[in-house]
Amino acid sequence: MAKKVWLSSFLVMVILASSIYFVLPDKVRIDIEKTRTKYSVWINDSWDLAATEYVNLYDGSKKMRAKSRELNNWTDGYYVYVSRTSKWKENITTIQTYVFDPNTPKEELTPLKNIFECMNCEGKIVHYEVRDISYNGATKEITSPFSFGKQMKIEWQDGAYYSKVFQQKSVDKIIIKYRPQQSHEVYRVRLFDPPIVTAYIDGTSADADVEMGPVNISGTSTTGTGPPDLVVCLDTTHPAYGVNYTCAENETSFIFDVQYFRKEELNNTDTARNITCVENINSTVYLRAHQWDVVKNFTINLTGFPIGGSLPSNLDIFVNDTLTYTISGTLNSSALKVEEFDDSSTYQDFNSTTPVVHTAEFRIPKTATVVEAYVNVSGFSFWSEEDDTEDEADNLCQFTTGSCTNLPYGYDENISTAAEVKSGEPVNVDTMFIWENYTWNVIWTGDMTWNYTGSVPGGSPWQVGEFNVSIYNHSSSSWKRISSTGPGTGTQTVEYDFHVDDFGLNSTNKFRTQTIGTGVSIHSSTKYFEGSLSWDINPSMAYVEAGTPDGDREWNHTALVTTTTKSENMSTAINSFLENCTADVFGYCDVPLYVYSGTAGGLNLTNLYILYTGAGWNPVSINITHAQSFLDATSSTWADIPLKFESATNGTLEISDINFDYAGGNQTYEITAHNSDYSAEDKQNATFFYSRFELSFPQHISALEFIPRRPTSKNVTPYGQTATRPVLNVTPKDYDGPGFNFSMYMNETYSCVNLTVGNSSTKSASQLLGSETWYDLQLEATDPNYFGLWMWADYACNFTAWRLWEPEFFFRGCCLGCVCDIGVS
Amino acid sequence: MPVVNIKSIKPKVWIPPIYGAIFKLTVTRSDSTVDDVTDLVTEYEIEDVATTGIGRFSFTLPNPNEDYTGVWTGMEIVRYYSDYDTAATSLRFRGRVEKVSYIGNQVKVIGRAESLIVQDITVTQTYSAEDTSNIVIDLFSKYAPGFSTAGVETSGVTLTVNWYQKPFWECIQECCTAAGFDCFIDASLVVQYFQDGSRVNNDEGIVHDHNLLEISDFAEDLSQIKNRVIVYGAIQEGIQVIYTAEDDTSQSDYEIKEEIINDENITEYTQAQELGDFRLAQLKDPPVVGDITSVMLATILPGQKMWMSAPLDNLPPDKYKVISYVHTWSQDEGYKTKVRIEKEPRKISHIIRDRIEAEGKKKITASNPFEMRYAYNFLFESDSGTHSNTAISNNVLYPTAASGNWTSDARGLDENVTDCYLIATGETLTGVSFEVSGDGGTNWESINNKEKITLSTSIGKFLMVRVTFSNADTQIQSLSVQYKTE
Repeated sequence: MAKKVWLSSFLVMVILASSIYFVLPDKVRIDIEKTRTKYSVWINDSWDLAATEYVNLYDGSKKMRAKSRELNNWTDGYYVYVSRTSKWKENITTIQTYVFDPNTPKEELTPLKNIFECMNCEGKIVHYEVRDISYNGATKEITSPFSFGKQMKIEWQDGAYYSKVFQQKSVDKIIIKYRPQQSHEVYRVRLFDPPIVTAYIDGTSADADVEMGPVNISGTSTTGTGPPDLVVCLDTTHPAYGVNYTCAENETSFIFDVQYFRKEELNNTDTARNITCVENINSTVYLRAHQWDVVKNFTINLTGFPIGGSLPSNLDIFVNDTLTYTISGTLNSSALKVEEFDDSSTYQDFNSTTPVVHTAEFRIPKTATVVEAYVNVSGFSFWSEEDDTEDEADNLCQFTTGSCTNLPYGYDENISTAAEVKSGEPVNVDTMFIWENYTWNVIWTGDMTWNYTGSVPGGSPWQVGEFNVSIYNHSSSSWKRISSTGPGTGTQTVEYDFHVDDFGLNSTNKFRTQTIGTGVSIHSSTKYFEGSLSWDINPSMAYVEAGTPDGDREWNHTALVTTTTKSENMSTAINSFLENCTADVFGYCDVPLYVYSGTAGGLNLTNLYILYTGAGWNPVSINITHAQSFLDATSSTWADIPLKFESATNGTLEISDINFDYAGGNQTYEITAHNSDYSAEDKQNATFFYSRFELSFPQHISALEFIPRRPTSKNVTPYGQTATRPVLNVTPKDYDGPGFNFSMYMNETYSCVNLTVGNSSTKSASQLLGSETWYDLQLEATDPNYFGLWMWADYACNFTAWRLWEPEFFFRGCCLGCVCDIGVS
Repeated sequence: MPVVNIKSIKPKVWIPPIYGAIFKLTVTRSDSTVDDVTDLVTEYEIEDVATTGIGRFSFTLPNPNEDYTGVWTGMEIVRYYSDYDTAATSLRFRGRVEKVSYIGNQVKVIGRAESLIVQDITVTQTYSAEDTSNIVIDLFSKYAPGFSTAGVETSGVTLTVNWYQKPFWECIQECCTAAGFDCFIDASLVVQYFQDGSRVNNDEGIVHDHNLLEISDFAEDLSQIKNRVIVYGAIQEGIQVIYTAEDDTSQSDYEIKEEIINDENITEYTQAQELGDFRLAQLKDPPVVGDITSVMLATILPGQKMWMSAPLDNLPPDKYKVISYVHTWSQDEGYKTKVRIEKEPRKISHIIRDRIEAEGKKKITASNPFEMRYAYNFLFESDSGTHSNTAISNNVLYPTAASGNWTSDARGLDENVTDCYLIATGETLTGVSFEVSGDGGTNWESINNKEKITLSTSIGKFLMVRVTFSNADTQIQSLSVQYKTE
């Protein structure tokens, strides 16, 4: 009487009088009998015997017979066990144990284990035999694992001295033999039903040709006709997708959208090349491309190596003599430095009289990782001194017009009340004149000295009376004289030492100078009244901040800056800035250093030291417009794009990781569907073709316009079209392909206008366009067979206003025999 | 996702209307009599424009029997209808007759659009950070309430201005300029205020090889190029802000062409720089505007964009903004519409708005901020009024003791004085108080310097002012009482 036990929702055990069998419904059935085990798989709605397993002992070439065999089953609460125990002569006992996992529906794990133990078997032969298999190959030796018909698979442990599959007339078989050496030996040999994975291109499990663009790739894992239940992954050899692009249970798919092919070698098939750079002498390498190729992206990696201690530096890269990329600094991939500012100087001076944030910048690759970054900061006395010679160029103020040039830093107002003296007119200035040439606003700390010199050249044609010069301070809404010379002639100088205590720390003060004279006469427009001024103060309350201003200063100094100090390590701030900066066309960013002094004075940046790692400039992007221009201009079918490198110093330059992405010709990519451990896989090849073509209007026509005489006109041709001149010319630019069918698609129709398109001037042979349908207009098009398109519009409208219909026409080439996506956007 | 080689083209399929444009022209007299002159006119012109001007019209019709002599005397309403249909029923233009001439056996009528009503009004108003659309609505509600403002769209651009007796339409233009908007009053007397280029007329088209007649001046206008802009700002303590913006390329191509901007509102170098650079960017390249003449258009309105195509004349199919248009008909020329279009609309900048605001700020010190109608002024060049411990000498009024008062003579008025605004200049004005009286001194009402009051207790037809001194140092150099009457 049969006893049926549901071990789980998907594994059934049935105990009969002389056997026990397990069933994974619609997948696998395993009948364990006393002398054999049968494996059946579910095919065409019935169980089909896939293999019968026997385990026997041989004594030499003689098959031994068991004295008794019995079956037992039990469970440990998780796994289910069935054992076949056989008693042989010479006190030999064999136990074959099958282990089942009720918690998995996977047929490749049913049984989970098959363990054969042999006690006292030394000198005998364990003979594992599988019969009733379906095998179409030749008799041969095999290795574990081995797959055969009806999706069956066998795997066995190492140590077998014999393993062979037999092609026979009656029943094919597999035999595996072990020779026990010890009194207790354990062998694991497992026969099971493995999964099948299949790769599909556009739903077909076969190699396929595809027009460059998207195509559906899918993979399934099945057990014959049974429902799939295994992991399947998909690999491609296209660089944008790669290995395990998608994985899922049972089946998976993705849109394999090939937008470019990649070439990774130079014209001599080198994938990397070392060139020797000689100072300011260029070297050229070439990359071969077809004249019809469309360049999508072009990058290379560059690494510098020393020659005699010299590395390539300040590298210019040209495409066909057009500068396409510049790398500043030294190309040292192990330790890179920036020690100059943007303007190629090694120092930056800033001075001001009021609080102003100045900016210094240095240039560094956006991809750089800065390890160390320092700059030295020093304060210097900010001074200005104007000479008092009578040459016009250096003068502060022209006496005759009052206009001032070459004014020193710091003052923001110019007051000249002497402007009334006319050029060339003798004037006797008997009364006092006042020339106030500066008003100077400044915030300062510490001490400062301000010297002011006024002079009026004596002698003919001048007549000089007496004058004095003064320095005034603006205090309490009025000007107060704080120092002055007495009346005199010639050059007079007044000096005043300013002290903090005089006016208060950090206060804003205004000063001005004044010259007052009497009895001056002027005869020439070429003479100038002059003053000169100098002062001497140092900055304070200063800081330097690198990168994005965040209040975290890399150098900070509150007191008077009189010495040189080194900034903190600015690497964190710079790296943070580089993360967010927008690189220029060469991949570089200008990193700002903000320099500020809260009081008047000068700040000086020196010893810039930026150390960064990695070849931060890589990958180097070659301007694709330059490369494309070269191809468009060439008359050669295959052309070598010249890449010219010019280094400012000697060294070796390695060019590697060439990625020339393009559309043109064809490329084949292998699609692999596989399970997790690649124990099951299926491969298909997808060959993509790029059926390039170009559209052009006739000369002097720039748009496609239908302009009817009346809203009911028929056979209206586009503006510019004649019987002998199509409105569109199509020029195929495909190569290395089968040719293509040229087709057209219109996104919408209009209620009262019909459009017809054809490749001849005969409308009746042309195609009336419907909505959202691709129509073949030219079959088997290929370079150099260009062709034209003629169009017609038939109107039947009656609007009481102007209307403009703007449908969208799409054109595509589809390589012959290829899968072509029908999408338009 | 399409294949990589896909290409697309958007054709232009022009569909003309089933009927040509048709018009109707009527004149409505003050007694509501409607004269339909559609079939009588021998020629006409209807011109309309947004923002920059005012629409106008003229038409001529035969008058051999003097049927129309003296019929129209001015301010009659002219209505122009046009459609692409069998009858013209859509009102497109409305104006007022301003001049009627009789020449030979013809009568010629000339007039302007209804917006002429606001052309001669001046505005004195202050707005602070107010959306320009609200300003437009407020202006019309206060100065031209006969127009609906239902067509005013929100600009989102605020403006701070002080207008002092500024022509109404110039105020509207400043709002437009600041916001990048257009404005016009449509034929239904609705104010249309909308973003420049935002209104598209999809019912019109001018298409080569169909209704395009002539492109008369659609070319680069080199005369409008300026490639050196010199900005002179305010002179402050003898120093003037100066900035020059130049474009070498344009100067090389077109020789040096200068524009000088004098703007006292510019007090900082950066302001001058912004303005100079902005103007240079606007002017350094030839503006591309032109006139296009087509067979008569029926539906175009001011400021709209419409479809045009004349690729051989460098006018690829696209929507172009119509700056202005003129419909004309004559027996010799037939029906035509000439449109002036802007190929590449110029951008509006905040700089222009800033200048408007700066200009407005200057007006805050204007002498008549409350739109008074009359002024009673005293320059004290000669003695007048009644003194009590005061005197007039050396063009000033002053106390002769520690306190005193002076009362002016009364000015007799035709109507009652209702509002007064007092302005006094002089020294130590803290030591003086003012009173005005509208009833000849029977009652007095206090008023402060630069204060406007509405008289309540002294309303009358005899205006007087009284000055009371409490400080011997006070001197009044001038005194003005601005006032309104009933």
